[in-house]
Amino acid sequence: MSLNRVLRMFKEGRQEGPVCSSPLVMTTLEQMEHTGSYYPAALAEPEPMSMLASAAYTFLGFEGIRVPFDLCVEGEALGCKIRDGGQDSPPSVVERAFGEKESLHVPKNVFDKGRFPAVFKAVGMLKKRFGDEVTIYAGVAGPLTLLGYLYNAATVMRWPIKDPARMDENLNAAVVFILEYVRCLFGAGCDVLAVIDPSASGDLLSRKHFQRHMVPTYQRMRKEIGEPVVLHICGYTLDFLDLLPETGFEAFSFEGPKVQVRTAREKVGEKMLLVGNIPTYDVLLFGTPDQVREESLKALNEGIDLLAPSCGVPVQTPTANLKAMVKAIEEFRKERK
Amino acid sequence: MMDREKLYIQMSEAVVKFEEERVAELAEKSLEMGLDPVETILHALSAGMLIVGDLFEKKEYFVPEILMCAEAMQAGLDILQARIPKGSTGNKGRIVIGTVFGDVHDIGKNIVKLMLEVGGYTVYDLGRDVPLEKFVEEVNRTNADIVAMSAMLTTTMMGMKKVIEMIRESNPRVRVMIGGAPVSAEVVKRFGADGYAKTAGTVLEEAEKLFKRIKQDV
Repeated sequence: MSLNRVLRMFKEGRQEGPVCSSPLVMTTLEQMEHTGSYYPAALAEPEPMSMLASAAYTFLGFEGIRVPFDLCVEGEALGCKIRDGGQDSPPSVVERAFGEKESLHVPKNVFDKGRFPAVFKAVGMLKKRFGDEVTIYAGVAGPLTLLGYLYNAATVMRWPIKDPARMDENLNAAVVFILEYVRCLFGAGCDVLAVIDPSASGDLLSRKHFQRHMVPTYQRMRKEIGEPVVLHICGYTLDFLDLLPETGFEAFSFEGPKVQVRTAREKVGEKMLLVGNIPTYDVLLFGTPDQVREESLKALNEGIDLLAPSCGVPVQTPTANLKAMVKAIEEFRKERK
Repeated sequence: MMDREKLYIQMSEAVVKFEEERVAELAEKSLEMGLDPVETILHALSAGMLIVGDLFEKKEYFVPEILMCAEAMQAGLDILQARIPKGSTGNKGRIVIGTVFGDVHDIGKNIVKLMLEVGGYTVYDLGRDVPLEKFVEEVNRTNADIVAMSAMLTTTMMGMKKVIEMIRESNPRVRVMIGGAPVSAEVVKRFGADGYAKTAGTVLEEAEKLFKRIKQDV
């Protein structure tokens, strides 16, 4: 079996690209209608989950499929209280799992609990059906974001100053758990891991704290994960972009217009794949297909490798705008020939 | 004997350096000196938080630092507020605040709330993950002048647009300000909001602008 184009990029480098492929969530109401798979069933049951996820490829034409659609799967199984988001939004964590002084406790057979089995099954179904054609991404909450759910973000965000040792200790515990989860995901058939860690954004953390706590944390993950990884951090990340190659991850996904592709390329060099960065609201939700085309061509000309939204898209995003990204990449390829 | 100005400066510096105990100590001292707690909140605590907001804008301070500063300020606020007769603060206006449904990110919202409180407003905090119709109900209950909403997720932000539509329908005189990391000037325009604070540092400025407009409208 030959590798699909996206996987070749992860394994052999950027010269194989660019492609239109999103490791971020792209589910919309129109895709729910098209597939007949709606929230909340698609968040918890393997069949509708895989159907809805596959729309990114079968309906929109992106070279990639991503599951699950929210970052609460882990928190839920570890004891957070979750509230259902209804038909048009994913669930959210409403209550932390642990008190500030408690250590991160992982229940026995945790991967048989909550929505984990559904996620593994959905990954397996997608791999079986589409694995020869496109990349299957599995999204997991990054270590800092997971701690934010488990302990409450306001508590976690004090640790870098109040108790740096506690910060490291808990990041380590989070990594141990995440690695276990990641092994199951790759075992189920996922191709590329998307580590989504918005809490590590430069809007929240300084370069100093990112360098001290997050870089070594990501390095520890890299050491244990032999498969391709894309790290996504939204918001302002300019202050520490140059540190990202040190993580060893193959790709970085970021948000426009806060971070421009050209600047990102200058800071991370040629080795890392850049993913993103079409603005979700200003362009994809409110813009026209023409604006999407323009923004996409700009990103491509500046050196984006995986053309994708900046962040998870709002469910109201029009199909025509998402498809305009796929058209833009076809246009870009034709012109380049 | 320390003079008033000196105490204000020391106290605002202690807020900026997040020295919680020092802030509390100076708050006690201000009371011993017979200083008006309302004045101390304004000239020491609020002044300190404005410097913090400025450091955040300049990217010298980040969320961990701001949270520590807010904690230090809260220590002073608790002591001073206990000595203020009810009804003598918060006269600048009434503001309903909350993070919209589906969104539990309230760090920013809580800092904004604190800024508004020490800035002299009465703030009705609905908390986080607030059902959209609750904003309208609370405006009606409190007869508030401003609704301030926040969202952190690109997937929940649309809720703010719905609230703005509901407010326009039911309470057209009420002004709406929105905030949160994914909010841009374009979003403000599209949602039809009246005001927008990019960071907590500019919240008071923005609130004053809106209140001026409300007065002009009347």
